[in-house]
Amino acid sequence: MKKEIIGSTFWLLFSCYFVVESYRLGLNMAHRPGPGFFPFIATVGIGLIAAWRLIAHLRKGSPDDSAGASTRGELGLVACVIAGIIAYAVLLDTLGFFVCTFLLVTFYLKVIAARRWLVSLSFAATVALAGHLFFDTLLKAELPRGLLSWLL
Amino acid sequence: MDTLQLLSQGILSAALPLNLLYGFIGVLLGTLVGVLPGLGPAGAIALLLPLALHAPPLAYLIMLFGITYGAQYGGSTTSILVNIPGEASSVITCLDGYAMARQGRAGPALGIAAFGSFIGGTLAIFGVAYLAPALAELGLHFGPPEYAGLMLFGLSALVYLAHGSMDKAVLMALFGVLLASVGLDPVSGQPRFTFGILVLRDGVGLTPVVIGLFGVSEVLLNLRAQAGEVFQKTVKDLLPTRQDWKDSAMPIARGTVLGFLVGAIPGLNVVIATFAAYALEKRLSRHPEKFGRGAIEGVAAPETANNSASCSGWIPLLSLGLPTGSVTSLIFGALLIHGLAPGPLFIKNSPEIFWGVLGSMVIGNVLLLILNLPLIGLWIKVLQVPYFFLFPLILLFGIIGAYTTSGTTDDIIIMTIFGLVGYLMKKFAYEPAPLVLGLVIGPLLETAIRRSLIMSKGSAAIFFQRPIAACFVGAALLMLLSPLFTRRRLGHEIIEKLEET
Repeated sequence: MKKEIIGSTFWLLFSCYFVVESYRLGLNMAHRPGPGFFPFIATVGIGLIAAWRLIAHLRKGSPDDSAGASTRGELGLVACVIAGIIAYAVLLDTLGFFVCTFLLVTFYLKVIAARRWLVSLSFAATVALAGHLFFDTLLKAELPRGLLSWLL
Repeated sequence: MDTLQLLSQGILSAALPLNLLYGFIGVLLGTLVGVLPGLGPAGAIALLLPLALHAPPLAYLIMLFGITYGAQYGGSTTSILVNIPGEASSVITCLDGYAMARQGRAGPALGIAAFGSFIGGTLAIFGVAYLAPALAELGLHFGPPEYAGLMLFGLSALVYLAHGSMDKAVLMALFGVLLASVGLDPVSGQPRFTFGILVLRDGVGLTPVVIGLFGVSEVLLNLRAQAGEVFQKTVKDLLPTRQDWKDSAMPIARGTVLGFLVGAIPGLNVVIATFAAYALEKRLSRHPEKFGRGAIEGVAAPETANNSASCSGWIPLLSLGLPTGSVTSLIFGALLIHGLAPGPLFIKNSPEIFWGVLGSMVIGNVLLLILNLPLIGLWIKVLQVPYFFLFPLILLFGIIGAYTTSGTTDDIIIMTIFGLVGYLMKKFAYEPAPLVLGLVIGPLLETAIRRSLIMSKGSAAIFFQRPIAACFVGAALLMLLSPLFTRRRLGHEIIEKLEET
């Protein structure tokens, strides 16, 4: 399927769901608009545009819009970056800023950039230390210290 | 007190050591993000939004404004030396700037870009100083219907001039408005679309959303980026010759005026100002055939226009509280974080902030002129830093920024989700700017529309019965509906050229 059709279908389904949810919140109509009134208008607008785009593309047949599409390799890299940040968020309170940052940067340099271990580990250690000194010590950002709370 | 006295006071206030330091950091960071393709001023400001909780308001805003106009200076460096625009507003500079570099004239090209930016930026500040307070006076007469009309107008202007498909831009603006309605209803206090998730009761935070959309998504799109290949590694003779000045004087003057006028109109952004200035010079030139082959006028005019427009672009925000794009939306958010309400009363209630920021722009432009030319060598080195060293740092800044906003890891997850959303939006050719504007003005627009309807007992005619509101709503409808009949948009040639480039 073409990108445009996938995109328009997604927005159409999205708007259908939120139209129902907005209606449930209560429209109370225009004389005293309820909490669902404004989101209802926005989602109806999204739905109309998506439907119009979908019909237009199905009628005239979309040109090949595969340009700029993600390759499998690119999607793999994107998945690695996202997984790294999610893992960071999950582990931050337990392991602390220093350890999490060290692990994340090592992971990115080793897995995504395919650097040597020495380069990855030394760069990660430098970033983690500099980050701790700058954000925690200098800016007092109160980042979690986790495992190393006895030391930092 | 007259305008010049107020501006002088602003300059003195901006020259205080702490403000000067923040201003210096701002213009330096701005130049850096302007030089680095892939991270623009919106991304940099998004990453720095959480700092608002710790920094004094004026110093912090001076830094953010410094980033915006510093990026205009930095963007020209990559256009001239590498033929890669650091910013969209420097796209047109590639044509003649890079051609000059290939002829061994990178020095004068960089020099005239810096001087033109300085002249355009500085003169535009005076224009803002006179025009913004006058517009704010007019805004004092606005009630809810006028505000609703004004915001609809701003949103419509942005989608009307969006790159590519206008209906996609409208869709994004509506999505932003919908996102803004997540959380407690401003009137009844009833939770909306929170799905039982506690963190969503306060709404979707602007900071994690914009860090995701502008910071994380850019990293995801540039994972395979290579370091820039610099054509001319040593740059000499940065000062333009007498002939260069003679050729550039009028283009700089015209670029200043044109950039100021285009930038001050909501929706007509800096990029359009640069294309318009370039087209004007080519049309007026006695040797139009030289354009694209290293004409110094082709560098001077757009580089002047982009700085002039980036200054006058603040007028709608500072005088009426109307953000007109992603960067102004972020600054709008930063003002709100500091408890400063952008709107017609902003200049009256917070004169020290308004005049301090304007004063800092005068100092910032001088700083950039002094800094930029001697630091060209440093920027060339920055261009050669491999991206795999930069992207973990950008992500780390984003993570810390999202985390420190609320002190919970939930915002890191929201940032990641919107990073992925931003990546998919680029792949499916959707623009993030209308989404951000919708998210920022959504709550204000909703409140204004609901109040107007309560005032009129449910009649939408209130938006057409009051003259100012009717003008705004009429103009918004004209912009939104006219492409259905004309199938053309004002300035569509510029948009098409930009996409081709």
